[in-house]
Amino acid sequence: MRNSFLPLFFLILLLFFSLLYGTVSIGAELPAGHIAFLSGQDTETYKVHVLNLQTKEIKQISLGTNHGQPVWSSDGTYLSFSLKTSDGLCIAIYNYANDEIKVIKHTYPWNDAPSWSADNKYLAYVACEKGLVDQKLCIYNIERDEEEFWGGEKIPSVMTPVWFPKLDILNAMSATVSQVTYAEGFDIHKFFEEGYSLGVLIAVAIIPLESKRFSTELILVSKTQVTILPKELMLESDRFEELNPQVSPKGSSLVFETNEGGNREIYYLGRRGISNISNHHASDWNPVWSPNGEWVAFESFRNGRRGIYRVYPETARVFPIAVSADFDCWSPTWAPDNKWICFVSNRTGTPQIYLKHIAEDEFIPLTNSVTNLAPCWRPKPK
Amino acid sequence: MIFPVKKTFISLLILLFTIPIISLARNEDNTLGILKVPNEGCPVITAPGQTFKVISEEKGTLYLIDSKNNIQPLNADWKEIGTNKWEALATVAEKGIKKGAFALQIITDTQRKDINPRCIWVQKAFKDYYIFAHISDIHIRSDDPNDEHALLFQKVIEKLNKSDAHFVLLTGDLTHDGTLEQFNIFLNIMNQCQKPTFVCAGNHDRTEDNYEKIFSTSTYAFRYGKDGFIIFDTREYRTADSWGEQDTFLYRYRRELKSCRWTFGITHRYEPTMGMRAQTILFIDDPIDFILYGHIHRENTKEESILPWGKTRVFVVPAEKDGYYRIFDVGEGGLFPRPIQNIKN
Repeated sequence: MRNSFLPLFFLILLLFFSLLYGTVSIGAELPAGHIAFLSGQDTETYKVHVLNLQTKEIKQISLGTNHGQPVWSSDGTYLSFSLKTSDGLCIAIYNYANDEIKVIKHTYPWNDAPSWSADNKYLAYVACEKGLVDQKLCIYNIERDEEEFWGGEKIPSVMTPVWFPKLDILNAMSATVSQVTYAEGFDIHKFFEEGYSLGVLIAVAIIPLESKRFSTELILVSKTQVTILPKELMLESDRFEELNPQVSPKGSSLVFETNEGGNREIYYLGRRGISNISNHHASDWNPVWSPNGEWVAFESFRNGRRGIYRVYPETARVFPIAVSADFDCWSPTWAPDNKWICFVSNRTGTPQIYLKHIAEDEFIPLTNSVTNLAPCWRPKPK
Repeated sequence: MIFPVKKTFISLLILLFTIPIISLARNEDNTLGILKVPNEGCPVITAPGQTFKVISEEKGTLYLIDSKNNIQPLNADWKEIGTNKWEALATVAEKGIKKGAFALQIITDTQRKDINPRCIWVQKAFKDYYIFAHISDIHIRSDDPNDEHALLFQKVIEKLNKSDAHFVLLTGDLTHDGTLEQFNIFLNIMNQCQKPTFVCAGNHDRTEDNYEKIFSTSTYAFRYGKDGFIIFDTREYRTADSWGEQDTFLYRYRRELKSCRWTFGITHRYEPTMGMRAQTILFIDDPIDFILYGHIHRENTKEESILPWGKTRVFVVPAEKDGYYRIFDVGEGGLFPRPIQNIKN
């Protein structure tokens, strides 16, 4: 009688540890969904492709050349990316369901880094003639087919604009308005008014210094207002170069890169202030929020090779996701269920797209041709 | 007594096998064969007892061959790094090796043979003070070796052969249309150079993957004594984008060369729009000291003498197709450019 309980005991023990650590393979079922990515021999021939994970069907978008990283709208209806046409580098909007593509008629010849607003009514991107020093923040109104330039006359040159998906930031600013310093001439009431009606973005500003060199700062932008993030939050930010801000899906916190400490680190700005959540002497970069806002995936060289890790921002506990001593993994994108990631790896010598459950070891190859890069997982269509 | 006789016999056998092998250097159309790196555009400058990396389609036995067809086997540790991609760490013997240019030969485990000429340069030691030459924008535009641009390139190479430069950097737009025929003309002339020649790709070298077929890689790094050189690719419409592998290489090379006295970036062009990740690695987080490029077919102005991120000094050489080249001295005090020269004057 005692012996018959022994296997059951071990089974329960195994189940307990597998639930606790999530490392015992239980053969997770492959996820469904769509992944957009770049495929081609080189930059000139890169084209956006969309892979249906269930049917394995791949659609190629053939218009133009030099396609850039694809970005899905939050409802999964549209895909936007930059591409080269006779007019320059333009932003394209592709409707996946009806296979229609529209290339925006731009004011400037160089347009890149598209970002969708939470309601999918607006597309933000940078527009310029030269680059770096003259990059405007352009907002495209999908319904009206119109470009507008946001931030007012005082906006510096900008990079990588990102919309706040929710406006908790405005409530936080409202509560602390007397405790922090905003940029000179910044009209916070106008900012709130425009923010609540049209939305707010965060971007990287390129600030020319007196020493004829540039520095970067994080800025908040509404239709006519712009301010550098308050100095009370961003201590000594003029000494460091901040880049790549990513707003949490709840809109209440953000992560960004900075070279404070001598190498690139990922910082978290939340209700309790600012903290270094990657903290390693090797570089850490490219933070990507999980759709539920619990985890941040990022790339790090802490194991020698470029690998993908995830960090729980509240405690800064770091876990490896796709890491190897023999090859590199980069460009993570989360599945809508927060359990899988898709990424690029040179495991077979050429960069290819892979899929991996965050708690299992198996790398599942999705492509095996030319060069495949920059995957973006389609959010669940609403 | 038996051993020396046996050794001589084996050497003779190797030599007999080698003579036809030399004619098998590269493929018939001058594209790389089994051996990818090092090659004539991405060579190794080394010294006795030092190691260097070899990339090959297959693993096998490596040999150094000098200009008199003397053969010396190399110790090599092989590791598979991808499909049909092997990497070896080869070691130059401590003793018995003369300084000068060598070809690298492989006899693979499957008995395939390949050889890359003038790709290993052995010198006794590295000095703290040295000299290099920089040319850019050669624009070989015809498959005729007697074309104006080809003849001018030949004259510049002859001039550099007589110079005191220890090696030559050729920063892109090697050809005008990137055809294999134009690359062949370029390669044949460059191979007359009696000094190591390091190349990178330019925007005009972009036709299919012809550059890679001829030189294999467009992102690599090397050390010369106390100093480090990072060669990278900004040839595209979107210069140095952040999606591919280049940022990984740039970060790794920058870290490997962190302890260097001076670090040089060698590329075809600098554009403010180039990938921000590449800029953070090279010019912001751990800035390299100098960047050398071409592309604009003129010397940089005083305003352009430092990159906008504030640390990296810029030296642009006007186009070689117009006869220009420049020689630099490097020492404890830094990089000292000599006046730009024109072969036509």
